[in-house]
Amino acid sequence: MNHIDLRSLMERAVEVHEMPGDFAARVVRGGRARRRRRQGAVVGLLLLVIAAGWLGVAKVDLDKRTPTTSHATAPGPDLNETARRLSRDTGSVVTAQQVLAAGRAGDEDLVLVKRSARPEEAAAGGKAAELWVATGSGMFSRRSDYISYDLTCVAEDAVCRAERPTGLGMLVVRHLPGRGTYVFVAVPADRRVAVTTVEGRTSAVPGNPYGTVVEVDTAEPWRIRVRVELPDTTAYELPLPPGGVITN
Amino acid sequence: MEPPLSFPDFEDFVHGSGRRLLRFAILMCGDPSDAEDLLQTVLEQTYPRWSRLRNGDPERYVRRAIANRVISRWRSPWVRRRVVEVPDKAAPGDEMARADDRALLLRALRSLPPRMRAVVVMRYWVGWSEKETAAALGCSVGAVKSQSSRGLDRLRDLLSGAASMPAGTNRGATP
Repeated sequence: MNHIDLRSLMERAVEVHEMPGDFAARVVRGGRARRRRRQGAVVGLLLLVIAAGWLGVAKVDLDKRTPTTSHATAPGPDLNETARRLSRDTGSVVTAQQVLAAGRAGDEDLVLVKRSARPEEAAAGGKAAELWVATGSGMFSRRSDYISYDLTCVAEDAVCRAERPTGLGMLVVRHLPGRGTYVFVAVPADRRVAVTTVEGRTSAVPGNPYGTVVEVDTAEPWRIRVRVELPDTTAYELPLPPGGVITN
Repeated sequence: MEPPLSFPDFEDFVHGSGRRLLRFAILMCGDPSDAEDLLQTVLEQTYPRWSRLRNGDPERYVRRAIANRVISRWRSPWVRRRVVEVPDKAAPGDEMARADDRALLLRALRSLPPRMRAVVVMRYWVGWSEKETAAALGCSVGAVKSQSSRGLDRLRDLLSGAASMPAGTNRGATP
């Protein structure tokens, strides 16, 4: 059998097969349906991309403006480790998203963990956190169960009032007589922080959404003042919340 | 610009080339009902692209798409598992099957690996050159040469028992 014979055999094998009468109509119907589905899929994909883009922009905006009020962003690896340690020490699950800020103050690790605000404060836009402290490589224990933030402004601070809806930042003072005083502050990105003691000494540091610790020397930690400068050089005072000086 | 909702010339194309394409698909699949389904699927996929294809060689495009689908389908582990259960050859002594020349040839074709089958059909039925076949299947000319030669040998062996099948009918018919 050569290739000519093979061709004849193949021709014979298929010669009886004809296209069904409605085949062309079926194909056209199916093709139109497929094109509609494809167009639908393209439109859906486009909408998805637009939505993803919008969410991305919103997230970036949120990161810039309110990182301390919302942890929609992926937390840094240190926050993951902190959450793991907290989970281990407390026996309950703490996620990195619940960790608002973390820092090292002397030989202590300070962690602010998100909690629900009291209803009246929440209604006014306020938020709340707990402070957990671990000394050395010891276990974390809770030193404050309620620290409010984003709740109020110092009187007649117009910049603060304007910024409050999108987040001011949070402030805690860790005061250990004989061991030091540390200001633990977390503010939205791209802001600078200036800590001033009643004695008149000022320490300026770049702000950090996940927490900055500034050591100060003061006899009156309750009178520490923290100013936050925005990129446009306007500034507001970050109020020290009630119970914001932790001494235990 | 939004393409038109219907392509009258696409319907003309299906009417004009459909029979040749169906026969090609039958040889590629070795099964008429599978071939019809495959051809319908490929043509439906061709329809949205028609405005780009109509000025080229749409029949060649469809043939190529059919061949690639047959080869890719074979690569699927699921299809491989299922095909293993289907006997490639007629059981010995199945005189009814032997009597059916057409079924015998299709069964013999089906027993070839898909790429080899595609080469045999494109080379010996469609009449494409080695170069054209290689381009359509995305392989080298050398691979086409060896596959066509081995395919012919295997078909010769498989059909040797069907010597009574008259050859030469419709010789020269356009595929």
